[in-house]
Amino acid sequence: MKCEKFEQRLNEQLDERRCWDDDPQLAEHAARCAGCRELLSLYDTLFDGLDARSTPEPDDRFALGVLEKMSERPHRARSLLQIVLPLAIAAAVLVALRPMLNSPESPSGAPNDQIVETAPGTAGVPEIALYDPTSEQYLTVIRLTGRAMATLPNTVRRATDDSPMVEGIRPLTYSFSAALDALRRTLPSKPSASPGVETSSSSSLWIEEPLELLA
Amino acid sequence: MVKLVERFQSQVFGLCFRMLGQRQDAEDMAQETFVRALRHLERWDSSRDFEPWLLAIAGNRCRTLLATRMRRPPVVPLDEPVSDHRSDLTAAQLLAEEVDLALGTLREEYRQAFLLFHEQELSYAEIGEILDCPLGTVKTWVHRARRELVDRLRTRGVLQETPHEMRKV
Repeated sequence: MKCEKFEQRLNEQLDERRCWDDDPQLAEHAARCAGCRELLSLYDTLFDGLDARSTPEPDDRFALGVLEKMSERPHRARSLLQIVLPLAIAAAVLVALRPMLNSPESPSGAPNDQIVETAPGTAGVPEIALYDPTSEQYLTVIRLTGRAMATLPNTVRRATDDSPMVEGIRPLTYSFSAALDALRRTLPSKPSASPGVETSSSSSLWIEEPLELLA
Repeated sequence: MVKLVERFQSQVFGLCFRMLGQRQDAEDMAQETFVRALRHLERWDSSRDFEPWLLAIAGNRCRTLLATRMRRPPVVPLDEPVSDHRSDLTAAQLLAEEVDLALGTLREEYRQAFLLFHEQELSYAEIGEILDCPLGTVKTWVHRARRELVDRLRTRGVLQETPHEMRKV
């Protein structure tokens, strides 16, 4: 056995927590090689020194100290996520509730720039307002609305026309008008081209043609 | 709860002391280990032994503290540590001091792995879990630590006169 192999084998013995004297090949090599014999003596010295080191023991009040620390309220540094997450949730909830808060039925009476009341006291009844009733666009919208209503089944039309209005519930016609009104507000006030003709300008999106499909 | 602490306090404190090398820090970390373990007892997989889980927590705490220490400016000792050859010390005590000095020259991870294996008598797998490194790495660290300690003792001329004897390490 070479000296290099001797040390490797010695390490294996130590890893297994076995006595090196148990390995006859190690003993045989150590008997022949002074260097490896010295190495064994040094290992002996090392482990004797380790044994002589005092083993530390915790304080007598150690367990009591644990109990005291247990009774303390855990103090945690708040992470950025813990701060940002509730704020983000609150913001998301507010955004989700905003349409409800701004609806005409809102008791807050906040001004609503999307849907305009027809007259005071008729809450929830929108109309196409702030618009020139003599203009071509106004008339087109009214005409399309009428055509769209004509496509509804008779039972629905009758229900929307005849049934008494329950407070807080809008008739379908008003909702439809409100939707058209909102759509109209996204369009330019004066179409640059004749209806049904798409202009080159991206902002000019007068879409009579798709609406006419309803008729 | 007290009985549980008393049952494992030596192992946990011993581990912390061997990793940190300071009594006060070791005691603080050992206590914190128990507090954490008891507060999060539901995370312990009861199909496995309790002690390795507890020691892994202790290892994590100690590594965190060591990382904090490394970020702080190092405390420079005024003098090199010198073995005190007082006449009232026994040969065994002197030998222990020499080994202490030799251990102080080792790299941190070598020293920890060596002490956890030879003094704390943990397995390589347990040490790997505590130090958060592969088993092979732990083995290499322990082997290098042994070799460096032996070289250091040889350089210092520390060699027992008695011939090597049968021993279990």
